[in-house]
Amino acid sequence: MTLRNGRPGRGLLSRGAPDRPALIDASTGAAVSYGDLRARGGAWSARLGPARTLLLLVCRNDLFTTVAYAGAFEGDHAVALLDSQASGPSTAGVVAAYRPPWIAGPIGLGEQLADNAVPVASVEVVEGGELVRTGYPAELDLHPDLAVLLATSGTTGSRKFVRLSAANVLSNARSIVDYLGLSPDERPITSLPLHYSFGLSVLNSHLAAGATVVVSAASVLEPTFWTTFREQGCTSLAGVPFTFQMLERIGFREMDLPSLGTLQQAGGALDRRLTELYSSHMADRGGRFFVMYGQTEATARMAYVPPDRMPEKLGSAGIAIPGGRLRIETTSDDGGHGAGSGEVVYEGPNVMMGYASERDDLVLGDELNGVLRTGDLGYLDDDGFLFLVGRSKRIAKVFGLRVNLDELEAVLRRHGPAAVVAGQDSIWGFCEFGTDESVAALALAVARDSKIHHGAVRFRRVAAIPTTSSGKVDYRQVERWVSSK
Amino acid sequence: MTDTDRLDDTLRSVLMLPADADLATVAYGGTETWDSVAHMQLVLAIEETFGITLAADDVVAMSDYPAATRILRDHHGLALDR
Repeated sequence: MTLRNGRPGRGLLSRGAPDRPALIDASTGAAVSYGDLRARGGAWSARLGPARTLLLLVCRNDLFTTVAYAGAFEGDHAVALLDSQASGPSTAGVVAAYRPPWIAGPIGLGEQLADNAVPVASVEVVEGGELVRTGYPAELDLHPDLAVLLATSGTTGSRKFVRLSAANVLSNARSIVDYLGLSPDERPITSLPLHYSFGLSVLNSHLAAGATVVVSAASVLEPTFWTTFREQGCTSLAGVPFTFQMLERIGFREMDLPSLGTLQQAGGALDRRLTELYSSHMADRGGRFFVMYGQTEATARMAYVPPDRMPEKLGSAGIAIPGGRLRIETTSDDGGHGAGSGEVVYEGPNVMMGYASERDDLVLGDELNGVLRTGDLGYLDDDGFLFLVGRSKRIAKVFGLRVNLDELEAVLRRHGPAAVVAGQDSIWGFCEFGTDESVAALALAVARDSKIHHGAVRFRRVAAIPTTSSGKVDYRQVERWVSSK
Repeated sequence: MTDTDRLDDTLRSVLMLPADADLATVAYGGTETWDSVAHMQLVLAIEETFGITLAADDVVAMSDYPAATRILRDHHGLALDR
């Protein structure tokens, strides 16, 4: 396997037999073998030039994205993944912060970038997409270990990225292969976006297993998704809690899917009823249901519940993945969650190098040394199973997207006193200013800018934001407003 | 208010469409605001508006305006004139 400058790749594809399919395009049924993927990936890498460089990849769930990603990764380049649904200005903001020499994405990307004041030197149509050479210099300082950059937040306005090394990506992929027992016969379908760490981990782990990934852009709510699933004999499906709410509503448990063997769930806590239902459903059909816990800061995954420990460990986020370790750091302030609770600390080879917020940060090395303070609060039971009880940072998950409540609150505070809290798959903003109409308009604007669904952003006018005796916002009191609605 | 008006209002409100939007052309995945989250909200809103429960297959099949009309008329006996 030769890629850039005749050097071997990073090893993501090393277990794939040359004649076995690595990717199948759901829209055409065309297969890309591991041999083809190495060749096409090598060509991708060569297009980016002989020196290590930075590719910003505007992701869709298609062959173009997966081949470009695999090519850039194996070619020893650094690749930053962005959501193709992000607005032109928000993508341009990321480009301005990182000044990537190369940007790849769907047809029309070059024009959209130019419209948003990105310097575009040339646009080449490649494999059904576009490769844009920007006006930024090709020479740039990249830390030698840097391989992948993933956005920290589901909200795409953010320019903060997680810096991952090739070792981070490969160790997490191999650990997943190990605990899921993935063989080359596995055939997952892409049910989550590739720019999202959980979605990317499904691709990485199955490529690392020499298995076949069926690349589909359809959602589980579209009939074509299930036609592909059956025709391609898909064996597994990964979802966030909202995916399982959708599956339940469309009668998933009554569907005839003879090839299905594994369901994977992460991206926030699934409610107890659905966890119980899907766990027993998969056991009944001779398959497996994996509840998992992860963060982009740990490449993707940190813990999983072995299916044979269900229902005994219902509600747990699981045990540490192979190669990782979980511990609880207790402090005098347990946040009111009881003795034994504290911040969840994860240690393992998949812990990120650190964050980046602009190009200069890409020269930085490993700042965490394999230790990640997750910001989650929890405890370990006697068998080492993790139970999460809350968060020390104010972060909410809305339909699987991570939303920093403090950042959102700061946006509202530009207009006047405000408090932002999370409800069930919703964000509530309480404002001491404006009119009913103006706060509703603000909610729409915030939803649009942050890419949170508009129905999930609810702003209300209130007479006063409650504060604690020390003058801070009394979030418990504010949260009571939400639960009473 | 006719059933057609109620369906139109529900679609406009959930999908945040202007009053003059041509509903005949809206579709899941094709209309920017009609994504998976909106689809689930639309299903709920239609069920609440008409006091019905949509079958699982219909939740998937209801992917554009003509499909919604057909499902509500043929499976739920609503008086929809389009």
